[in-house]
Parts: sequence; structure tokens; C-alpha cells
Amino acid sequence: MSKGTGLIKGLALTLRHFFSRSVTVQYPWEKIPIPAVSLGTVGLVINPKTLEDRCSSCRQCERNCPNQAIDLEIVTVEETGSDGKPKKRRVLKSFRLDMGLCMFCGLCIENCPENALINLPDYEFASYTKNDLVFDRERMVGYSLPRMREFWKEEEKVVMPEAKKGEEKESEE
Amino acid sequence: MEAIRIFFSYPITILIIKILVIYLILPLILLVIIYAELKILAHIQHRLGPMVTGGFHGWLQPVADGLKFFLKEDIIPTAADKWIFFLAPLVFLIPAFMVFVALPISGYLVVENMDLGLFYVIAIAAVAVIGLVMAGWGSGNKYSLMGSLRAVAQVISYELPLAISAIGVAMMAGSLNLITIGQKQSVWWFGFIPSWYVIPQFIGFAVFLIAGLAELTRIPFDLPQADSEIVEGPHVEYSGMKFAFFYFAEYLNLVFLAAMITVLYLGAWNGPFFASPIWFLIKMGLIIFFIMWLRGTFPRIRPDQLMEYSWKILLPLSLLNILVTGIFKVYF
Repeated sequence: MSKGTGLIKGLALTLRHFFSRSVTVQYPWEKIPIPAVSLGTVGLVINPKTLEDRCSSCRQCERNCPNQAIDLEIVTVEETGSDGKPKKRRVLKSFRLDMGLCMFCGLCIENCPENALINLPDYEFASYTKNDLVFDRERMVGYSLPRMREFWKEEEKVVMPEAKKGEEKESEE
Repeated sequence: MEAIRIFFSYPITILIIKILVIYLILPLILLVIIYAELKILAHIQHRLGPMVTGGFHGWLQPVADGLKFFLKEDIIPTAADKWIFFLAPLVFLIPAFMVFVALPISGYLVVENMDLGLFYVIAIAAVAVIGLVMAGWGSGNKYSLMGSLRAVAQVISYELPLAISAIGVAMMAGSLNLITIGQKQSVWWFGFIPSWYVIPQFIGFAVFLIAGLAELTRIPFDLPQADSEIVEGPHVEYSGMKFAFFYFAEYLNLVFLAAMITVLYLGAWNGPFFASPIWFLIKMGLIIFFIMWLRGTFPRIRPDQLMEYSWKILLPLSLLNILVTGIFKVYF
């Protein structure tokens, strides 16, 4: 009778499923809580005291986005430097992120050298028009400012410590 | 008052009233069965099923489905044979309604008590097969045609074991009258063992159940539909109310199979302390739950396995059943 036992085992399993709780999460009324470090929307970070962009207009985020969702407008302005000589500087004119194209991969966040982009756990952006899904700079700053975590609130840019040459030679030996 | 008395004295009036009652109650039963199928399958698959339509756990879902069928556009393919395409759902649905005329719910509640009740049921159920052929041919679609040929092959192959195992019950009861078959199962041996025919005719019960599932083209025998592969087999070109007829006929056949199993094998309306239609409905409900449980559990049978099971396994078993039953009836 070993041929029929598979059928009975299958029936027993489905009966057990019938009497146990369903795993469905009924979305609009119940949501699965996601961790605060999840990759959701992207926020743009500015210095909270001086309100300056951390962004140095290097276009790394635009280049690394697989869906080309980020669109930057950068202008070069001329201004006088601290020593009186004229100096050119790149300034971010507009930062547009098309959330309709974004796939929440986080590559832009990883590749930003200035840590100007952060990940926030928001994902519910459904709207009635595609234009509503294009985030501009104000909206992205608005998302990030209330939720800055402590280690993001530094006032200087991050500087990587340089390796000392003496220590390198020692490790090689 | 005199006019009313004359009106009700014609037998045909009572008959027409009974038919109207049955045919108004059947669609309501159908709605309940469709809802039960959605919910039972969902819970077997660890999910919830309809939850939103009508508020409490989606109880209006079948009504919404029916409304959807009314509102859909009725598309007739250009290559379709118009009259056959139009008549096929009717030929499939009307026998599904007609068989309920012979079905007794209790010792006296039946629309028309026929002495040939069992024969009538099996004969009328066989007419529905023509509806399948007409659907496949009338669609003008070669895949529909192939699907309908497979469906017809399956249905007519399994009609033989079905009918022959029912003959086993008729032999034990000595009559084809469904009410007599029910009444013969009302004895209780030793006070607690029921004389239902499932005990002596256990082979016949298994054969009838399996052949019945194949007749309904229900999982695990749903090759003609193969919902995830060819979408609906012979019914693929149908939309709107015509499709609704096929859909409802399938569920009516399910209800009828459960009712037949209850009448023939599970002692119809007989129960522990009293005999009433309530036991009939409870047993029918358990059979329907079992059939839906099978749907949620098993995969589909291959066409060659299908034919093998019918001709090489079920038919010899049912013949063996009536041979042994006959020997017992003659010598004991």
C-alpha cells in the first residue's frame, strides 16, 4: 500500500493548512513593518545649520543609476574666492529623481562621495499622474530633514584618513 | 375560493409549483457553493479568499461574479457556427437542471417520484456531453475542438463505471426508484451501525466517487479545462452569459453528484435520532467539502493515465462489484 500513502499525506497537509491561520497580509489595512534602514525612497541631505547642499555636483549618482532615473542640472558660476581671485564653482541648479523609474537599488546612495544621499524606508508614492512622481530637490530634502540620524548630522564633509607610508612598508615585510 | 380549489386540484399545478420552487432555490444554493469553493480553496492554500465584496469576508463575491457575467460583451467569433455556438451552453445547462427533478430530499419531498429515477438521472446526465462537442465545434477554434474532443473522451469513458457501480446499489435495493433506495437504508443494526450502502458497496462507492469526479471534469481530472494551461478548453471562446451557463452547469453538476452519492451510498435522509432533510444536507455538504479538498490538493492526471484508470481499473472493479453483489443476492 505504499503507493497510496502519498495521496493521504497530501490530503493531511492541506487539511492542516485549512485549519491554520492564513499568511495573507491584507495590504491597505495591515502592513508588514519594514526596518528603518530599508531601501525605499532617496533623501537629499543638506547641512541643517548652514542649509548648504552636501552635493558637490560630481554626477556619480546620475551615472550609476541603472534606470537613469536621476537628472541633474549643474551650472558653473564664477565668483571671487577668499583670496580675491575669480574662481569657478559647480553649483547644483536642480536635482530631479523620477520615482516612477527608480527601482530602489540604492546604487546612487552607495556611490555618492559626499554622503549627500540617504535611504529612507518610504515606498508608498502612488499618484494619479506620472508628473507627481518626479521628485525635486525640495521634496527630497523635505523627506530627509526630519529623519536625520545622529551620525549624518556632522558639519564637515567626511575626509578619509590617508594611509601612512611607513606603516605600509612594515606590513609588506 | 371555489376557483382556487379547482386550480389546485389539477396535478400539473402542484408539479409546476414544485418545479418553480426547485428552480428558484437552486440558484441560491449555487451562490453558496461558489462562495464555499472560493473560501475553502483559499484556506487550503493558506490564504484568505474574498474579503472585501459586501463587507464581511466578501460574502457578496458570487453575486458580483454573476453581475460581471451579465455586463460582459457577448463576443461571437467570425469563424463560429452561429447556431451551434449559441445552443451549446443551453444543451450543457438544461440537463444539469433537469436531473434535479428526480432527486428526493426526504421520504416524500421530491418533484416527481419516478420508478425509473436512477435510470432517468444517468440518461439525462449523458445528454450534457453533446453540449461539450457543440461548444468545441461551434467555436471555430482548433484548440477548442481538440479540448472538447479530449473532454468528451474523458466523460464518456467514465460514464460506464459510474452507471455500473450505481447498478450495484440498485441490485441491493431491488429498485431503481430513488426514494425506495433511500428507504432501504433506514435500518440500524445493533442500534448504532447504519445500513447505508457504503458498507457493503465500498468498492462501488470508491468507483462512483472517482468516476463522478471525472464526469464533472474536476481536479484531478480537469484535463479539459487545465486552468493554468489552456484556460478553458472547449469554453475558451465563450464570454458573458454563455460562459456563465457553462460555469453554473459545472457547479450544478457538482451539487448533483454530491446529492447522488448521498442518496445511493450514504443513506440519504437517515440519521442517528431522526430522519430528515437536514441529514441529507449535512452529508451533501461533507461530500462537497471533500471534493473541494481534493481540488486543492492534487495535481492533474495525464491523458494516458486518465484512459488507463477508466478502462483498466475502474470498469473491471465495477463489474467485479456487481458480480459479487449478484452472488450475494442470489445465494444469501
